[in-house]
Amino acid sequence: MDDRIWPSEWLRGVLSLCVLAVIADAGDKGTHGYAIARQLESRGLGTVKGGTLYPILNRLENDGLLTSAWIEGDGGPGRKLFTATKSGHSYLVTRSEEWSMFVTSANNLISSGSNS
Amino acid sequence: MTTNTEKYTHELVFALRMRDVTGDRIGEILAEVESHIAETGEDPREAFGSAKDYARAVSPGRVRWFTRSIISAGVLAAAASWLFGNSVLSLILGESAFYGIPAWGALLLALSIGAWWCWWIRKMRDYIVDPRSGKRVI
Repeated sequence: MDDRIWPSEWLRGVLSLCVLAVIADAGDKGTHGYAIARQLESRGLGTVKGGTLYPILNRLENDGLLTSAWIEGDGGPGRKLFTATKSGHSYLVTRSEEWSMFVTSANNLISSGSNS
Repeated sequence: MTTNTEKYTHELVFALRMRDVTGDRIGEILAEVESHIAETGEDPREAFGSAKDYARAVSPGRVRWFTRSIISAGVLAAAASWLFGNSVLSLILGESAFYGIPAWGALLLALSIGAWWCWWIRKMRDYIVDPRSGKRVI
């Protein structure tokens, strides 16, 4: 596991798209907050705290890209499961294409600067 | 004994109330914090930041009218009580209440303000409901 700490402004720009991608990847069974944070960490995005994650989840849900439901926990206080909606999936497709274009442009610019 | 999480959630309820977040929404936010903490075993302040900062993060740009409402309710209750006392006293003494307003008129006004105040307080009442159990929290 990579415990590198990325500049926070990089994460701010892309974190909500990554969160949506993790949830979409979980499919119809959905996934919960802690599992999302663990997944983000294991995929190399570093540690994402609850205080950052839940406001993003709330925003995505308000935008209609996610739905959520509480399920009972085994002895614990229950879990909130998040599932991507249809518009969440199509938003992800559009945005990930745009993101790739953006990253390519940024890479070209940065590499031309660093190679000169 | 109050645990760290309980202390944190109490502070969070206060901070969210001050930002005019609805009871349903507060219940949802508390449940998210409790569930996350139970799962990770982290300290709530470590995971979510201070209650005040977290309240701001989940309710950006909310108008803080709660304190003003409490003050208005207090002022209104004091005015109605004063008016009520004044009019009852004037009725007993057989005088007009003030500015030549008859005592019964002032009493009627005091009772109307009182009734409106009760209706307003009932309307403001907004319970925090735990989304996991559907039960009232506070």
